[in-house]
Amino acid sequence: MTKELLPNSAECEDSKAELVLPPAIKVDGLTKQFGRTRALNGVDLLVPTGSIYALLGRNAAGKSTLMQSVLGLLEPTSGSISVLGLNPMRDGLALRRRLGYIPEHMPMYEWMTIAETLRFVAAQYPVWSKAIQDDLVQRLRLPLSQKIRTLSRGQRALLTLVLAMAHEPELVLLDECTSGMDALAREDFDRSVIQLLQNSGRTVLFASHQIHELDRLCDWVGIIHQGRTLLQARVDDLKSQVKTLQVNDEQAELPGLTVLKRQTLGRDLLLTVRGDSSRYDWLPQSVVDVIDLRLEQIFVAIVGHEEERS
Amino acid sequence: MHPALDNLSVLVYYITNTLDTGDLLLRLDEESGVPFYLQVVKQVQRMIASGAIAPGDQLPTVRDMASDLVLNPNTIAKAYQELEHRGVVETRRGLGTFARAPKTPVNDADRKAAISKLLNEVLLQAQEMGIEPDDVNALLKELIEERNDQRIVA
Repeated sequence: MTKELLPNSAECEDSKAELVLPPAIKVDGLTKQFGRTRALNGVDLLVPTGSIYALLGRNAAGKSTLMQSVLGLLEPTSGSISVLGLNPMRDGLALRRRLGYIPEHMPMYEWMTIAETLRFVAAQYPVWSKAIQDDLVQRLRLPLSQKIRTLSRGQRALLTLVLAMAHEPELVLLDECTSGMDALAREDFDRSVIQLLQNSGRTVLFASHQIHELDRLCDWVGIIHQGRTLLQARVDDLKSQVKTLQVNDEQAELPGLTVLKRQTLGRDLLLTVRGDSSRYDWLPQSVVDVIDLRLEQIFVAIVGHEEERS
Repeated sequence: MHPALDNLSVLVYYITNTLDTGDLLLRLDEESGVPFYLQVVKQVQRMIASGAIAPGDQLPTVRDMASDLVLNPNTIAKAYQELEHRGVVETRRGLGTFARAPKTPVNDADRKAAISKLLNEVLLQAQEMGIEPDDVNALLKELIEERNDQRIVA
């Protein structure tokens, strides 16, 4: 079952086109069984067109299975998937022309040079922008004549980025591609992603464990847990709904706010709570401080609470 | 606005500074939980109030800022919108976003109101610290005398 946190219309004054255009990805009740393992147990996903969407979840929550299903690499056990209006299994070839995929380890021929790899991949696409390829290679300072096996992790990721973007995809999927990168390489990579996305109307789905990275880059977030969708929301809305309250009275009444996490701070309590943003306008006197949270902290609180319940 | 004056203000904008994100040295705090757009708003606002950004200076484009700070461009756009809402910057279509002059109260009544507000805050804080208003008054007299002495010497 999905709990969806969608902004109510009163908050949507700056109506974004993303909610008017058909979604880039729509997944309904997706289940995937591998033998006796249920990797996905009724996942819903709605990725608005033009958004940068963060897919969060613990290891083995089902993120990669979901991504691969969206890519048409895995056939659903039940449920439906629509990507750019197409069925990923049935219309795979047409879809692959319009999307870019950047996994953690892109298989490449280690003996090829960067230039050879680019030529090799370009030949497989009906439409490939040499101008974009050349511009990216130059900006990212990729050494064309170097063999793949001599490249650093960061360089491989940047090359993967070029390979995924030169055919001007409408949808880009990044799956843990910055895991294992040092901070500088990650910053370079993220900066390139931003530059490539500007004003392009492209949609991005970003699965990563580096939640602080996603916090900076993403406008939407979806949390997957044990094969189900826990929530989907605009990052800003989620942050206005989940906060930590410092309370000096154990018996404090907090109407409309669910407690996700309890900690102590000396004689006071720190309660991480979730509720409609309007609930924070009036709080009892025993609340001495309201603390804004990072996306990472919100994730930990929500998933931790869910694990406690089950 | 009169067309000739409009052109003149455009000319003035070209003469003033176009700022680089590097000039602004904006620092984002990932730990605090304060929304990024708000961090940008506050820092830019502070720099305009202090004069580090002068009226008419052009702020970096949304695209440049987003790329340099490694932030979602929507976040920068939101920050610029909020700054405009606060009357701190103005966006001129096709040209960019520019700092406005910090607002200063014009007439006597406004000035008095602004200073009264500050003085009331001082009295409130003194009260919290257990200092009597008469003592605050004595302290104020001392400070005024000190300033006058410094002026004479200088």
